[in-house]
Order: sequence, then structure tokens, then C-alpha cells
Amino acid sequence: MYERTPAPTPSGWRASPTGWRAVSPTVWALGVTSLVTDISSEMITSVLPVYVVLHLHLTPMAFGAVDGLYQVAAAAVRLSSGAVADRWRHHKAVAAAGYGLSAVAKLGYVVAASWPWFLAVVTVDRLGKGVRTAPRDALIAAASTPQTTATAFGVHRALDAAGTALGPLATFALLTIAPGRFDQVFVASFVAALVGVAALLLLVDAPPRSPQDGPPRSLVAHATEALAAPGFGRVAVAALVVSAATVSDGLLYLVLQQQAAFEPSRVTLLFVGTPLAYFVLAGPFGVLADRRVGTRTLFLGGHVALGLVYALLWGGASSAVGVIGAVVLLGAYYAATDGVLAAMASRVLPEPVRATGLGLLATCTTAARGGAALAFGAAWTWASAPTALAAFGVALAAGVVAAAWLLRDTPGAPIRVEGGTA
Amino acid sequence: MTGTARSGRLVAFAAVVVVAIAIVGVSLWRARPSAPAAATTPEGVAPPGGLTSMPPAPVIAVRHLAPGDGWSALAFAPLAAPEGPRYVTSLRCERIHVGGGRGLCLQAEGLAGRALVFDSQQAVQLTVPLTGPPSRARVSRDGRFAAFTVFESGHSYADDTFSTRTTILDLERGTPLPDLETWVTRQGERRVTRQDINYWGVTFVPDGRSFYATLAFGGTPYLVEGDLVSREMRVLAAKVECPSLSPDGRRIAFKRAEGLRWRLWVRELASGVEHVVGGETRSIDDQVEWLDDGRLLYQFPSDDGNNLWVADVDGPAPARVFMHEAWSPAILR
Repeated sequence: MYERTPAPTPSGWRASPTGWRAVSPTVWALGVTSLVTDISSEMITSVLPVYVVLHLHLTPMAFGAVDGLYQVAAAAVRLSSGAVADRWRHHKAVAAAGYGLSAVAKLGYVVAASWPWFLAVVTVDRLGKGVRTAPRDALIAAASTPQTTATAFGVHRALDAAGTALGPLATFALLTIAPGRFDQVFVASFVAALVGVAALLLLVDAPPRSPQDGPPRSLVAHATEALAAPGFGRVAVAALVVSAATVSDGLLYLVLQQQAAFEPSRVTLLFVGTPLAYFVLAGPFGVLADRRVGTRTLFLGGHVALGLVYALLWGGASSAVGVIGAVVLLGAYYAATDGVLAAMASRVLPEPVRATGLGLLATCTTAARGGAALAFGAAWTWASAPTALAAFGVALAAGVVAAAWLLRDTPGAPIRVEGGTA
Repeated sequence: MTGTARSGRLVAFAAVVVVAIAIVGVSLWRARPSAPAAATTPEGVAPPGGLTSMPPAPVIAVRHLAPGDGWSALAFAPLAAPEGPRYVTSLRCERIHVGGGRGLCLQAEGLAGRALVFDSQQAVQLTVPLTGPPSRARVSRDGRFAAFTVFESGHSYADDTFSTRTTILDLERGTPLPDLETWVTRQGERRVTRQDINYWGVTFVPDGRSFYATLAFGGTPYLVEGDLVSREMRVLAAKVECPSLSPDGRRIAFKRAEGLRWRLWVRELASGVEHVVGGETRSIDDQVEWLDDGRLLYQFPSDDGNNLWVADVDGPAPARVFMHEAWSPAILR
């Protein structure tokens, strides 16, 4: 149906170099946008449970409702925003709308005094996150060549992870200076979100809009076409089977905390340590995928790392070395899979439906992870943590074997470039 | 995109960052707590609450929330004149309780804080670091034990679970009792062995060895009775949160979730008969304090400010304000 369309090369950039220097300024700019935006949103995430229960005086049941509501909101929007961006051929505008929506929501936290308002604000915030992801990833793919896609995603995810690590630290600093002043956290988060929008608008170059061939088609037609793209179905199913065996990091931390029996306040270190490892490894792993081993090997390897985390916890990682090992392996898992999956999918998706396909993929994996978290929680409650880990380990191993088979023909080998120097 | 245009936009972005840092900095500068009040009040200047020394018992201890120097400080007022002048101390607390010549003051700092045990002169005897933001505080009537609950939250982008942690301190020894989650808890004949358990809201029995608290698992909060000596607990009833024992030891006031809201209820311990507090229809999230055997005190944030309210346990009379600009009530009888 389609030839693999080479991504348009951004002006002023040659396609030949690979590695760090091959990454377009646009990708760095998108990375800065994500870094600042992630600081903003993680500041909120780290105080949300406490704020909801302590200051809004909601019951835990209401808190669960908030949680469920925004998961659903994000999934629904993510599914369609990529298709909308493809349909109107304006990814930067749709991404900007998403970042803008979340920024407005941050202002909402400052003024939302009662819980109906608060629910509305949380929903808008998550809608914004759902809107921006797929078109943003399409911009990254458009700003790189097939030889540098994984590196570009690696650089972007590294900066994103840096924001994830810095957000809770920023909150901690703010609340240390002004104890109990959650409004200060919300104000700072709002300002940071605006800086993120500014980074996107000022620093990111929109790819040249290719002329539309034929009349605009429906969103469903976009989705159908993305699903029919050779190789994409296999990538999506492979991602689905491994995601269904993925335990959320929050649950893994909980297991780790109970086993190692360390001070609950040190759990914060886990929440900073994992993104830190992710930050350090994402860039090098992207280069590795592009130049040495290919995206397929890295994606599978990342899930092996996750399997090792399960094994470590199953064996009872009570020593400091075990805890650090688990945190680093978890960071490596994220670094080897998240951006790499987006890069792998970007290569098989034709440019006109790329954001559509990335949106579909993100929705699938999020839904699978959500189901996995429920299943793991249930298994832990009714059986035990080691039993749940063992079951998920077996499922993950089966998933990795299935994914390896599904991805056997996917362009996974590094793309050799003549005269590459970097 | 030419180089000049890009550098122009880089400069514009740098300007945005500088302005953003300035806004956050100024906002934070204005929000930081004012310097602690001087140890001695200068001559001729009235102290924040009006009183210069501790009034004689019975007194009510509160978190003073009037704007100004003493904001959020531990304060005392005569129980007979709660709206009159207060003695405002220099201890800043989020949550307060007193008993038997001792007091407990929970301070928040960042996403954690510390628990301070103070004596009858408000001198700090013991400091314990908290592992999360403070939630509930109690001191036994004889001042022998103290208990506090903190929230512990996850900071993950994947998961927003949170839990509570409750610590009981032996104030005679100055040491914490073993973690409640390691005690033996029975529901009927069965031992509770689940992983997803949380304890909060301890209230002590004046006998010096037992207490009531909330134990939650599987999404339901239960009333438990605990024994400080044998370190055992047993489940008494479901859907009971933040119990508070009446001075005569016969009843427990608690909050119960009804949909998204909390109502105040009272339970007769001997018979297990429960009834809702008819005079208070708003959603109350507090571990209440008994003013006497027939009236409850609790904090409620309303348009009128952060005030203490009083409701009759057995009558339909509507709740009314007991004390303005005060939270976290505790009565020293």
C-alpha cells in the first residue's frame, strides 16, 4: 500500500551524520518543552493525593474517582488527537493546544476551592496530556531521518525523564521554604507550564506542510490506514503483549519498600532514582539502537531488564545493592522501550498517518498497563507479592518471545550509513 | 529558519525563563512564613493573643489561625471563655493534642515534618521526624502515651496510591512502640494478614492500656480496639473512621463516608447502637474532640473562616461556631 516514506529532512540539516550531532535542534527544543512541562506536572502529581485528602477533605473513594476519571479522559483523547493532527496536517498546533490546555488547568488548581471544580481541573489537565503526546512524537519523527529516529527519541525522552526527576524535588524545595503552602506549588507549576508552551512556540520548527493529496478524509479513515500500514499491526500487537505483563513502577516500589523495610520517606529516592537512570541511559540507548543493535533488540532487551527487576524483587531485594540494582534496571527498561517503541513505530508508519498510529499505539499500551496493574494488585492481595511477581515474570517471558517472533521482519537492524563519522 | 531568526527566538525564550523565575521567586518570598516571634514581647506591645501566660485549667489548646505573628502557633484559651484573649506560644503546629501535662505538636515541612512532645511549660522534650504530612494527633489523658498519623504518598507518574502510617509513642520511655502493622489483629476468629492495611486516628482509653483506632483494608475502614500491653487488636465494627472516645468512656464519635462526603456519627460502645449527629449536615473531615459528654468540637473551613464548631450529640440543634480562627482543638480538663 505504501512505500516507506523517508521523513522530510529539516532545512539546514544534513542526513548523513548519526549519533548525538545528528539530532535536530527541533528535537532538542521539544525535549526542553517536555522537560519544563514534566517539572510542572510532576510538581502537581507529587502533592495531589495529600492535597485532595488533607485540604479538599475528599474521601479516599472520591480520590479513586478522580484517579479513574483522568485515566479515562487521557486515553480517549490520546486516541483521537493524533488523527486530528494528521487530518489537519498541523502537528505543532495540536501539540500546542495540548500543552496550553494543561497550562490553563494548572491555573485552575490555584483557584479550584471545591471538589466539583477540582475534578474538572484534573480532567482538563489530563486531556491536555492526552492531546499533546501523539502529535509531539510525530514532530520528533518528522525532524529526524530513519537513521536517527531512535537517537532523536532517546534525546527527547532523556530530557523528559530529567523533568520527571526534578518535579518532586522542586515541590519539596517549595514546601520547605513555604510549609503547607500548596498554592505556591500550583503557582510555580502554572508558571513552569507556561514556560513549556513558550519553548514549544518559540523554539520548535513546524515541519513544512506537505501538500494534501486528495480531499481530507475522516478520522476513521486515518485510523484504518495507520492500522493497515505494513508492519504496524505487528509492532502494536508486540507492544500490547509485553505491556500486559508490565507491573507499574508504583506497585514495584511498594513491593520494594515492604521487602527492604526502609523508611517510607526514602521511597522518594526511588521516584527520583528511576527517572535519573532513565535520563542517563535514554540518549546512549537511542544511539545504540540507531548505530549498533537496532530498535528490535533494544526493545526486547529492555523488557528482559524489567524481567530482571521482577526476579530481584521475587528473590527479596533487601540489600542496598539490590534496591539500587532494581532502580537502575527499571530506568534502563524505560530508556530501552518507551522512546524506542515510538521510533520503531514511526519507521513503519507512513508520514500522513504517523501521529494517528502513535496515538493508537499509546492508547493500546496504556490500556494494557492499566489492566496489568489491576491484575497485579489483585494477585498481590489474594495471594502474595512473590506469587504475583512470579506470574508476571512468566507472562513477561512469554510476551518477550511472542514479541520477538512478531517483530522478526520489522526493520530492527541498525541502518548503515555510508561515511558516518559521528 | 535563518540563524538570526533562531537566535532572536532563543533570546525571547531566555527572557520568558527569567521572568518565570522572577515570578516564582517573588511569590515564594511573599509566602514564606514570617520570622519566629521574638522570645520576649517588647514592652508596651500586646502579644498576638492578648494573654502573656498560660490560663488556669480547664483550658482549650488550639492551632491559632488569626492572621499576624502568631499564625499557626499553639495557643491556649480558658475553656469558659473560648472567644476571649488567648495565650499564643511560639510553637508552630499543624495538629495539636494535650493530656496529663504533656502535649503533641505536629509540624509540616515540605512533604514531611516532625512531631514535638512538649511539657506543661511548652518546652520541647522530644522530637521525632515524620515520614509524611501530619494528619491526626492524640495524647492519652494521663500523658503516658501519644499517637500520631501521617500521610505517605507516592510520587509516581504511573501511580497515585497513598497510605497512612500511625506511630504510638511511650512518653515515659521516650520511645515508639513497635509498628502497628506488626501487631496481631483479629477479625472474629481470623487473623488479618492482608498487605493493603492502614491504621489511623488513635484515641486512648483512660485505663492506661487500651485504645481505639481505624484499620482499613479492602477499601473499608474498621473500628479496632487495641491493647498496648499484649500488642493485639480486634476488629469491632465496619465503616468507622477517626474514632474519638467520650470523657465518660461510654461512646465513640466518628466520621463515616457517605458517597463523596463525611458525616459525623456516634456509637454506644456497650450496645453497638449508632446514630448520626443531626445538628451537623455538612461534610466533616476531622477527628473530633469531646467538649463534654454531650457536645463535639471539630474544625471546619467555611466562607466565614477556619473556625471551631460545636454540635450536640443527641439533639437536633444546628451546629454553631465555638471559637473563631482556631483549628485542632484539645481540651485540658
